[in-house]
Amino acid sequence: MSDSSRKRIARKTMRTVVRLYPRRFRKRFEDQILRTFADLVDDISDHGRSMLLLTVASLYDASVGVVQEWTKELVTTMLKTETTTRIAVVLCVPFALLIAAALFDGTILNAQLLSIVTVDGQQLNGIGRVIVFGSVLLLPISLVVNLAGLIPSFRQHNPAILEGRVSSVSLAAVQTIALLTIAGWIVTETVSCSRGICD
Amino acid sequence: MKEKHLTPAVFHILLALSIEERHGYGIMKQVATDSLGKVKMGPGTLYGSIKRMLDTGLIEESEARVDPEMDDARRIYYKITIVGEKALKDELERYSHLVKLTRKLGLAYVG
Repeated sequence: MSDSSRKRIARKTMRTVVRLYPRRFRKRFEDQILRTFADLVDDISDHGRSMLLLTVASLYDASVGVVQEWTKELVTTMLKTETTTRIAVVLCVPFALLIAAALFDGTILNAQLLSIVTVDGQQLNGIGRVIVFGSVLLLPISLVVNLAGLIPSFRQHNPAILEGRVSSVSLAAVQTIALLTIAGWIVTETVSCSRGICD
Repeated sequence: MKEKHLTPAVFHILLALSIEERHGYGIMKQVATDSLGKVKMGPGTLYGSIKRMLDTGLIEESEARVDPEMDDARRIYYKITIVGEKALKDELERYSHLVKLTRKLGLAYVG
């Protein structure tokens, strides 16, 4: 492989990693990072040192940077959000854990924990029902809390205020979709049972 | 009050910019020279630190293009601010105090 194609691959790989940075960071530093990496690659090939080593080291460094910048971005977003949104997020956590457990078919719960919430590993016992129905009931409460924080922004008819509440609006959208999915599932089950084809 | 120390990356960037205004790659090369090749910063670490330093006012973007040979529209030069100079001075004083202290204690590994 020629030196120029190695350089091209290295730059292309770096560009891919840089695209993983949060949008705000990328907008500010993408060109500079790529320019600096191109200088490094040119310099290293002039001195006959290993381009592979440099590329791997730079990619590792940039990947660590991606994780750090996303962590900061998320923390900053969380700190900027209104108290109502934060409470709404916390109220959603049990439901999110329930969905995770359902997706993995209970395998993320160890046997001991499963015996606490079920009778025979399948049927929910009293505690299990409280956990499941409690988590599901917290979801509409969480939506109401979130919307309560959003209503003043809607009342002001100012799109700029809503733009600053992206996390709250996104959360409200996810909550609504989840609630509609649950409602749809309940209706389907009820109709099926009324026709005598439920479990 | 708890004193806030500079991270090695921030310290070396400030040191590199204390001599003259530089762009990202210029900073990288100067850091390698100053640290005798012991501190090797990748582009991720460099620009992550630059972002934090811009946000905290330790450095700022410069209009200058002091490296005509390597000039490029995408290159942005950075310069140290008064706040940055003060932070660097405080950190150097802290190091100096530590070196004096270790000498006073007669530790063999300090020249």
